Amino acid sequence: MTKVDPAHDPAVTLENQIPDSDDKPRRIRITGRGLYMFGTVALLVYLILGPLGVLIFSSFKKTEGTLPFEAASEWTLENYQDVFLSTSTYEVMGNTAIYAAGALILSFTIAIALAWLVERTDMPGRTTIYILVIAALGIPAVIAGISWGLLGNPRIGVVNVFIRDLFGMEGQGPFNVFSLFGMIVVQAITMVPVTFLLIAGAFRAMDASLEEASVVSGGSFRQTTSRITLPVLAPAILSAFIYQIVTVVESFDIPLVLGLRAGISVLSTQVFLEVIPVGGLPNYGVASTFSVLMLVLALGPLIYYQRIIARAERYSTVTGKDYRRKRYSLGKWKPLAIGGVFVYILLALILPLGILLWTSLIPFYQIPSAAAMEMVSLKAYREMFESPFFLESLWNTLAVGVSVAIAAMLIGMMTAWIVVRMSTKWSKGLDVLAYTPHAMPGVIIGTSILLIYLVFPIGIHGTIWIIVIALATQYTSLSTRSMNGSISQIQVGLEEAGEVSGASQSQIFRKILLPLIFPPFINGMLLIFLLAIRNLTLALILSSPDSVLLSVLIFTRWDAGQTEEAAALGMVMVTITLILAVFLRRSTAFGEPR
Amino acid sequence: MISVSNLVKEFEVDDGSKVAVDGISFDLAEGEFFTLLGPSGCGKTTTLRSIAGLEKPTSGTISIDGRKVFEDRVLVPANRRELGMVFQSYAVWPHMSVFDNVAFPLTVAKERLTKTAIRKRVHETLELVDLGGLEDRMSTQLSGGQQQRLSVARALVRQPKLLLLDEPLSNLDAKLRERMRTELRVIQQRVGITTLFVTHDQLEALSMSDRVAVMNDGHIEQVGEPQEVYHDPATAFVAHFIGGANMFEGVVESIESDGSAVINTELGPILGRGLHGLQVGGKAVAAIHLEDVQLTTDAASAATRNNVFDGTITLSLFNGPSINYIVRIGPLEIEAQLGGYDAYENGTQVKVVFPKRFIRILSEDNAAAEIAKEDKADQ
Repeated sequence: MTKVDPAHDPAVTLENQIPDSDDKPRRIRITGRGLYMFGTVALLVYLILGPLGVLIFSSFKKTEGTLPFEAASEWTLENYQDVFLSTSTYEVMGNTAIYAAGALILSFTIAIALAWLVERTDMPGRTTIYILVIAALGIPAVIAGISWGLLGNPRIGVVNVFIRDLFGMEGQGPFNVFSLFGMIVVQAITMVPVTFLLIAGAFRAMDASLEEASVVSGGSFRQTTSRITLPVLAPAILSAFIYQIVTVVESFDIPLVLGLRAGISVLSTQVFLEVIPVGGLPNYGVASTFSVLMLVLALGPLIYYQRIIARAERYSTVTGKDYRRKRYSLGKWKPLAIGGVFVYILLALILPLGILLWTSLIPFYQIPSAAAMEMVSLKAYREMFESPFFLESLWNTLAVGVSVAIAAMLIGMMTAWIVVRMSTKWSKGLDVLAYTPHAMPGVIIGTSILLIYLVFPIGIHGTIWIIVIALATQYTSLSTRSMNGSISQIQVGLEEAGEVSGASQSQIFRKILLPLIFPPFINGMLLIFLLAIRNLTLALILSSPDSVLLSVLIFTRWDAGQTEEAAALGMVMVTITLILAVFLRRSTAFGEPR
Repeated sequence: MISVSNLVKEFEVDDGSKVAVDGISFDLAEGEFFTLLGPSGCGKTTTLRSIAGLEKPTSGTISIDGRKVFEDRVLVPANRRELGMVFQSYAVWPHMSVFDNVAFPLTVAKERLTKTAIRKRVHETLELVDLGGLEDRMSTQLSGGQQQRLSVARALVRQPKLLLLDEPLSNLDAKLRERMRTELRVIQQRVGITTLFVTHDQLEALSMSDRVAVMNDGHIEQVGEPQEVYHDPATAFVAHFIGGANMFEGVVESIESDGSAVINTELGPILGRGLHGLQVGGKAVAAIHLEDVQLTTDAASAATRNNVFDGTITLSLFNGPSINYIVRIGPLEIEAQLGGYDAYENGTQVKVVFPKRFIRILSEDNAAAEIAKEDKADQ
């Protein structure tokens, strides 16, 4: 995309021969367009391909005691040998596979059941359930991990003690949350809200007459469900599944908080341990090699995902009038459904928040009891507000959140504009490029950005701005996706009507597009702000004593055994994120079930 | 064949309940093509869905082929009513081939046919709807018209006693709609299946049906053969809804022994055929179809006739077979439709004649209110 010299442009010459051609003003636009496109593409390449290139480069460099860019670092295949010849690699991959499969199956089972109950049945309190499920988005994974670490501790965990008392059992257990099983359950619970959102939309959008046609044809409830409902929803469920595969492979918080204590490593924590080892020097080469491996694993499903999307579009058929949707009557199953939903809300929302609050109010952790009640105090909070660390991290967190939200949404809007509106050969490639960060697990982005700015002397290493760049890179895929959707919903005709009415390009942008795009833009900002401030992965890899964020502070306090301080900080975080999650819901109210 | 009596369906809405179907009754004879015609929201689709079993009526009885499918304590579920239904959206299953779509009702039946029998039956049914040879296509690869026919085949494959059609033509474009109208009627007559058809399109209703029930606001205004409903509307609503007539409100001046009546309107007295319970001094409307209005510039011949008014052509629209004129008569504008050859220029002074036999005078019955409501529904 370079500027064309008008004198040598054959199109311009041709145009000059046709004096009345109305193409004249358009020529100016094309060059402006070209600059705009060039800038956007360059930015995306820098943000996304840059880190990827560095990562692959580093994976072939010898980095024991050196940095990959230093002259002392030699080209080598040793990193790949180290990774692939080590039996621990296969153990880590085995753990990752079991962890991912378990969490996916469990979270999808829960989310499909919830979506069906809320969207298609006469479940009482549907709107409340919807709000509570989405509100669980407001519990960051690191806090879910910590809360469940307290609830499911085999010795003193509240859930275990309660069950032991109930059944008169002795010793430890019955559950140990510091295990692969514990990690799977907690990870599944944290994945339910997003899975639910992805699936509930499909349940709602499904043409009810497809099922009615089956019933009228003589199909029973079971036949209709197995032969019509599930197959019709299959593409949507499958694409949500693949989207979430990437989420679970890159998930870091819960393996860090629950897994490492039990000596269980998955790929994401393995990379982290190579970059920030407990003892010794970081080995960036091996970390990069692990990252490349992880990327290949995440990219496969993603490519398949793109094809699924194409097929899902093929599934779209004629839809009829919006007839009042009939809901399945749960009948005698109603108590069971209510009980099931209550258990989920208990596990996802009430217990984690309850234990967090409780722990923050007593000087040292113990099981809730009447005796312990007397020790309740606000000491942890008092100390927290007096600590300069807390206020600094809170300020850092808010600054990072706002910066990332603005940056990612602007990049997303610029990209989406090209992808949706300027159909050139670049559009498709740009769409794929912008989507790549979704396949790049946080630890990979973190590692490669760390490497880049260790070398680039622009002085952001060790500041919050390196975290901002990393988070903005990570959430570019999300912002582009959401703006793609919003911009394609604005009919081209609206812009053309503005043009025909005599408005200039900038007037069209300011007076027509901006007001239309504003609500989804703000909503996207809220979502990215929420995700950015709860992110632990990048904040932890890239943090320095000068750029501590709230999430990092929570984790380090927990890691150091200062449980009540971690809990008090967690309460501050959850207060912000819960409010945001509910607010997010408000601003997308039109997407709710009726 | 089907008997519906005192059917009531109330929907719960935010503030109380809304009556969608308000105690309607009708019967269908064996092999009859019966149409429920009315504006959107008149309750016709709710009635059809109640017969299908997709909606549970509030009260009333429905029986199909002598079997009660709905009464106080009886509610036969939709999948046990053994009927065929074509949905407005076609509801063609996108994950199945053409063959699988049509075979579905046979494969879920209690009495299973053999694979060969199913294949034979599906093939025959697809031939019937002119989709022979497309068995292996994915259903989504079909065009809109083909999906429509696929959905008809699926409804007919079990050879049910009753076929329900829920606005099946409204998603097709104008050309195709016209062709499918003929085709559906041909298939229905060939199979001889009793058919209940729901539409808001009066042309579809009049051209396809043996009998039409005109519905408005949850009740039936008139049931009759298409000609009867068109020429002898029972109510002002029917007159207005069918054939978009010119309507003149007024007060009945006199009723003659031969059935003719005079109504005093804004234009002056109009003489016509009095219908259904007129009373001298009562409010009434005179209705005349557009194509029954006569226009002439021959003042002498017009002078010998009844109901002659001076008018001015203000607009003419050429439709091909005919020309529609807007004619101003004093304070009012009326519409007339004439053959497409002799065009009047705008501004031409004409004599407007309402032949007595084409003027229907109907007692008002809140006609004005209903017409206003119906006009709103059109928008």
